[in-house]
Amino acid sequence: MSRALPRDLDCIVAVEQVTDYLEGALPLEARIEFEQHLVTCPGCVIYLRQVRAQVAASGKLAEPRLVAEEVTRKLLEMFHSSRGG
Amino acid sequence: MPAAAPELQALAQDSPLVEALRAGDERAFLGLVGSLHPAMMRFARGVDPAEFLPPSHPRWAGHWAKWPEPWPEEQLLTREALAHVRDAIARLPEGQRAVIQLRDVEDWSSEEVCEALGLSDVNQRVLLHRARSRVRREIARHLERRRP
Repeated sequence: MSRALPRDLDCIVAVEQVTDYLEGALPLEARIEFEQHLVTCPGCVIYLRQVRAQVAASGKLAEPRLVAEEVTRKLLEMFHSSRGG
Repeated sequence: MPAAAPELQALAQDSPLVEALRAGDERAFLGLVGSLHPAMMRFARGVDPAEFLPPSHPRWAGHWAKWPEPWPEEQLLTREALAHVRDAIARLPEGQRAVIQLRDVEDWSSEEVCEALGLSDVNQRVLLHRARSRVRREIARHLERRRP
């Protein structure tokens, strides 16, 4: 069970903010609130760490066809800039 | 799309409320938001609510019922575990799968994914969040089964 200060985030709310936190999309106040929650909650620290590990593991799945993806990406870039984007 | 939540079906029959909303009644609006909140939370949620103590809990509502087990992270990089990650991604609904594949597997930036898939920033993050949450649950289950 978590130990938390009275006005602390609920864990169930904090875990729903993990992606926004990692994306740097939390407004400053929410970010501070989130980080303060982490200080008091080992469960959410474990959760965040798991998500980071998962993202790292997913990156190992990239296959040699990445070369083709790279080409696709460049083509998309050229396509968009040719349209004045 | 899931069937409309009971709250929404009730709303459709609740014409005084609809009239109040049309008239710009803030209290009616806040009441509506309150009544829909559980349904909205169910819809937005990426995690399993059963992992958290229920709203009725006197002291720790919404906190972990039990902390997640830390992962042996080197085990996550084994061929077997990676195959599970790949399968979990493959089983996602299409939008989530496209976003997590490009972001986490192929390492595209969020801007690139938004542009390629025609998504807003917010939608890209929502899809990524749901995808990561679901894949995380699958990994947790897999590692749990392997625990001695």
